[in-house]
Amino acid sequence: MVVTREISFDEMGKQLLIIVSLLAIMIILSAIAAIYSQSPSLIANFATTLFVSSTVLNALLGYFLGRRKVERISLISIFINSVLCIIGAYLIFENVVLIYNNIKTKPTVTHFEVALTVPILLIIITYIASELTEKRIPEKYWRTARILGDRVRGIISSAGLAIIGPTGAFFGVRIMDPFFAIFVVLYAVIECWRTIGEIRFVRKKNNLLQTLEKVAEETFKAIPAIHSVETEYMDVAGHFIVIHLQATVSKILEEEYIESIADFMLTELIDRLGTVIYLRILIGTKEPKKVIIAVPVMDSETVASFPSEKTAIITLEYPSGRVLNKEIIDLKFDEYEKIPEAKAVEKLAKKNVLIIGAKSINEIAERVARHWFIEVIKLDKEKIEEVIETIKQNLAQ
Amino acid sequence: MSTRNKEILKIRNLYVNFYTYAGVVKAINGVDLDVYEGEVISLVGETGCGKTVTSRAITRLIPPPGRIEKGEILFRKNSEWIDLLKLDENELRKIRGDEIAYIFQDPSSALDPLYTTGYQIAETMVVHDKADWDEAWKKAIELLRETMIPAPEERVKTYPHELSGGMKQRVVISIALSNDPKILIADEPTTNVDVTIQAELIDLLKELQKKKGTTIMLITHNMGLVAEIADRVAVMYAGNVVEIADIWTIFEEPLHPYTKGLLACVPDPLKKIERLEPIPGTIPNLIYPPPGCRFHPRCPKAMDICKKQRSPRVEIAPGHFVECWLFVSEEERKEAEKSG
Amino acid sequence: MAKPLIEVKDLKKYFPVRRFLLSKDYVKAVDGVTFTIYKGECLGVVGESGSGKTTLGRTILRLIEPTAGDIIYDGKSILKLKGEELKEFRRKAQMVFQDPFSSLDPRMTIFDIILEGPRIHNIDVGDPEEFVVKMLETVGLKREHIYRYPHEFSGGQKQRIAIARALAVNPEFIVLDEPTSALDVSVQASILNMLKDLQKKFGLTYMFISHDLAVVKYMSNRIATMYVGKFVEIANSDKMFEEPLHPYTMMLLDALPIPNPKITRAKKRKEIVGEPPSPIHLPPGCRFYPRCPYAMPICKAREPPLVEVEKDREVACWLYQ
Repeated sequence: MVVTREISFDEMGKQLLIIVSLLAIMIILSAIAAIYSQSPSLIANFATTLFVSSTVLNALLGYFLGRRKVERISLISIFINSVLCIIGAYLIFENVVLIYNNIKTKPTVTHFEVALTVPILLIIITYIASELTEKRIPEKYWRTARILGDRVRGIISSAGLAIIGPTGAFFGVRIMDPFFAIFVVLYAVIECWRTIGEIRFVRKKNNLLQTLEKVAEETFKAIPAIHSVETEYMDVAGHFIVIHLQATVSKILEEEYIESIADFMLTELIDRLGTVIYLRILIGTKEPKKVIIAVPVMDSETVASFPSEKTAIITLEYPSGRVLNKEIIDLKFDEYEKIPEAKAVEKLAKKNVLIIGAKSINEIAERVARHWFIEVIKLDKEKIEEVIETIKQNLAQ
Repeated sequence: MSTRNKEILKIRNLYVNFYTYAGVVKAINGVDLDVYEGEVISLVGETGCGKTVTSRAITRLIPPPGRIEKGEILFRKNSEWIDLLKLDENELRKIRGDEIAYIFQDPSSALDPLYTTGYQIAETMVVHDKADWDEAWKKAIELLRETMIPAPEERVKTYPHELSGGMKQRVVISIALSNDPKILIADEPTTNVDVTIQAELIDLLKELQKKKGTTIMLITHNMGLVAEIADRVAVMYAGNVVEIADIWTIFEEPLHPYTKGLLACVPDPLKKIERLEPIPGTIPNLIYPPPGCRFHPRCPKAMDICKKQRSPRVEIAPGHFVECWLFVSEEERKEAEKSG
Repeated sequence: MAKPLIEVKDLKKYFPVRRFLLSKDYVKAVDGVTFTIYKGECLGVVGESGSGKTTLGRTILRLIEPTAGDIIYDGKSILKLKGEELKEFRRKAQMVFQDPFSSLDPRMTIFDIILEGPRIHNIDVGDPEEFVVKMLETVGLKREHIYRYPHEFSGGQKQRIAIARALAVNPEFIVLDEPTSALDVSVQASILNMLKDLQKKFGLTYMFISHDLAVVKYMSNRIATMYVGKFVEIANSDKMFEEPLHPYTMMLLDALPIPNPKITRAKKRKEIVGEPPSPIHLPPGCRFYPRCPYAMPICKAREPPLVEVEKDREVACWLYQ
């Protein structure tokens, strides 16, 4: 059986589609305002909306294409960002020339009704988009929502600055338009820089892959039930990360354990990697080659209750049940350890034990074992050999 | 036992007054105290007992309107005894921060917000000519590591406001220890900090003290802390030291009525206490202190002579000193009454 | 069978922190707290800085409006109270604050301070002067103090005045927020004793908030440990100290210095690691996860609910569920 976890459409995809639609409206409005008014303030504002769109487009790219494991979305991301930068830079350049001329000639701003209402509309639409990222994307993905929201909110700054010039011109102070346009241009340059920054982030992709593999190694494999973890797919679009992970766990595990493992993996990955835009974990089961069991013992032969000072760790071949290895370890803790049974189970978990067979086991130890995905089998047997036999039979089912 | 070590500081007959608008506050009223090398001695007492003033008087950190009226503070420097009260300011400054270092209650005010933590630690060493900037910087990283601050190489470059309260206090400890002081004076170092951070800091001090053999003077009103870390305890009340004993004795066989009263009103969470026993009365006004023993108005065992004269110090057992007429022999008491 | 006086259901208080234009973060000071206080008992609330215990105290009295959840006092929800009914609640539920220096109006005499409450609530006290004297004597002060100003008193005396002020309106329930933290040990002892006596005499119910575990144990029947906005354990005081269940409670008790060198030096402390998480963006699982010596994978992924694991003991920890 297979257990899946992913960042669902409802959680993320839907919001992204709405935001990109709002953004499209904003780009069109900014373009109209720029063309009709010929105001350098509004032209620079248009450039900003183009730069800001890089983040939104990367999010879309990451989510929808990354979901389908499309190859090389990082290249597409770099391409999109570069194109936007070039267009924007060109606009800025032309705009600077325009400002220089306008300061000398002080032309009027045409179509005030466009020049003054568009910035206000932009602010309103950005507000809606911002509420969407802050409130509709679940708290778990707050870092991603934060990046998206912060970038989109940049349009407010730009629109706010851009409205000043035309307002001044409306009241007759024509010099205000080119003068304040300088500030709008400066802001646009900042946004251009941020878009370039996204390109640089993408190029650091290999580092991320290493972090991911480290996380896989340390954290996941330390849980005995997890046999293997494989990065099926990983890519980056702008600041956003896409991952498809496949893990195998032992077939012997109960289903609720597997669900618990899936939750844990999801949380851990988002915690360690930060701005994840799409994530899918697939956990499949596989028959293990060997099964490690732990049996608390009083001496080398007699079974005891758990926890006991000595524990036998027995490696059985699966499915034959042949004993591959047998060792006895100490499970002693000093008297200041307040919950020694919890620590004992943890130690066994780190040794990849999958089953504990004991005469009896105290309540806390049993619970902790469950939380470490270790199955507990209570047997009324005196000798280790008998316990091994019983477990072998259990496994055979 | 610490009494086998040599003394490193001797306070003799210390008197400190504060000249305020309301009157002259006779804050320290004849304090005698010996500190042995390598020990942890704790000065305990409540508000106004004079423990902080005494600790600051050691290096003359008493600003006006305070004035050290008389007394001697003998510090053993290189096998010689020098009176810190008689040194000139420059000589004293060489000792302060170098051989005698302080840690105070509020780490935020001890750290300069405009300089990195590394700079502030290194500065202490450079100013006392212990190292040049390069060496000092390296040592600063080591000190941060010793005080168990994670990633010390990066922390040296951070500013105080980027650190939590517990971390700041560790930095303050690093600064204090940077010149390997002979005596570390910690004045309520954990009062502003959470219990868990307090535990960490105390464990840290214990470890450092074991490793470096620094003498620590801990000033606190928290008897729990005293029980954890102190070797000897000096109990102060209204400007006098009323009892000195080692840690076990002071908790098990306290003699002075004030010490007994103090211990009786500290809630011990491991015991089932029916009722705490507060000490009746209030701390005296030190502008018009009561004559004789300053504790007599609140003492359940006050005698006539207590109201007239201050008791001499008596050594009840080796290392156990009390200033209380109850423990002075009959003859001596009668002598004193006569000479009046 | 004890009757519940206050029932708190999933109480939340979030403080908005504006980042910049339109973007807000929320400091989740109290993040879902559910408990009951029974008539006549003293419930202690223990936590370190940032736990949210002070915010909890104020929100319970509606000195701060809660963000979510309900508070039911004597069977009625206080969130819906208005006008006269709200005023009556405020008479019945009083608060004593930590800082005696700032909680008394320096421009009012003790006489006015104590009478202010009864005046506002139209309580007939008979001869005002005799009433105030009686109140002062109840808290161990004297007749001659009546026309003095707060600055003329010591910290301990000021706190007694604050308590007299709270008692003057004949309350049923008092929230005490660190009432003795600023005071000397001997003054603290006498105020704590007085509070206990008053509780017995007037049948009061207390909520005692403090970071000082020893004091809380002395005063309370039951104790709740609070960590970053949530209760992690609620238990009878003696039992909690004998056998703490939640690892955070264990850590607190471990860190507590005991004024007894034989005991405190014999015990070895587990190394305390880390610091509490930021109350703005809390991790999804148990908030104590990074510092817990018994942390398991599930602790990281899912937050354990506060449930009753044995009689009269609630713990929020996967070790017990």
